[in-house]
Amino acid sequence: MKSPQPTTTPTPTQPDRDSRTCDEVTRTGTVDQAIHRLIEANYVPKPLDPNQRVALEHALWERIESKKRSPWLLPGLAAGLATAALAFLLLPDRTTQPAPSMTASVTASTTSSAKKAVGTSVKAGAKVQPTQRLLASADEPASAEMDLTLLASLDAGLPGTSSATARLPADYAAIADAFLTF
Amino acid sequence: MPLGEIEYVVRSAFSQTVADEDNDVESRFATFVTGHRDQARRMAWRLVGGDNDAAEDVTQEAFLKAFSALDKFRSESALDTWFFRILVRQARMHRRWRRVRELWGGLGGDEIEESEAKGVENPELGRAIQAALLRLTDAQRETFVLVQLEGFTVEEAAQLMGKATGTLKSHLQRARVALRADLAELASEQGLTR
Repeated sequence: MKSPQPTTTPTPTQPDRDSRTCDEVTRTGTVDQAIHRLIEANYVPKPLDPNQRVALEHALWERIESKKRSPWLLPGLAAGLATAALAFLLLPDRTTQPAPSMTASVTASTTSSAKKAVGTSVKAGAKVQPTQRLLASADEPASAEMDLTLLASLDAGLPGTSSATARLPADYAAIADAFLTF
Repeated sequence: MPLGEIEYVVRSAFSQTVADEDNDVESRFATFVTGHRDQARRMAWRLVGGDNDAAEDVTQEAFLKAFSALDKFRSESALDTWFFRILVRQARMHRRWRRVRELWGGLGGDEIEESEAKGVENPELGRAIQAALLRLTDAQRETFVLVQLEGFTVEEAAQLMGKATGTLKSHLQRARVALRADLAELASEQGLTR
């Protein structure tokens, strides 16, 4: 029995990638070599003169020696700075705190003045603006009875409202303390 | 021999060995610096774009970093390959910082041109070559300098630059095409194409 002959497919001749002729490739190679020679010959630094060389060598070894002498200087400085920054952020300090009492008292006084305004408008028989009512009842349930009770208490001058206004001088002192103590 | 005395002898022997090793490392490094200084400076000069002062800074910084990291050097690669990798990285960092300075107006274009012209023998020709090289991308220029001008193989250059060999071949080809377009005329004027 005859074994089948292996079929050999003729390999097609590989065309040049950008279909350049052999001459072109050689020419390109020559140009590349010329450019290479041109750059190599004309793109070099001027050689150092001996004095300069000695000075630079000296500077290099000086730097190496100083680095050897103080290997922990830079990490130490960095650690010190980081510690100082952390301490500044973590330690209680008036200047870095958000000063909640100021905000609370300002809100309280704003609310009380709004309530007062509503109260005086009601007394004078004027129509209360919706924004005024909203501000006045911002921290209470929005019911008519509550509003009326509040207005009545405002008219009577209950200590709840007067205490908020009475705290004002202390607030001013706190603000001044926060901004002026540096 | 009492125990304290033995300890003293061992300790002094150990510290002597360490000191000897230190001296040995230093002397070897000094030999290395002497042997590679010129090549390092020339390479840095070409990598930073032809600035003498910058090249000197980069070279010194690279030697300094290499000395500081000598204990981290493992003998997997040759000492010069390891050092040139540091140098390439240092030059790259210098170029980045220079770009930042240019961006923020610290260094004008005239200043760069002035410093570039200082190093070369023929300033006119040097400037033309410089301009052609500056038109390449950073990676193309780096590849061209390492492979064509400094004589590293593509594999060695890939190791120095931390990139794949194929990428470097592509950079090199593009750099050649760009330089051919820019400098072929100049090369024929200089009578180099014959």
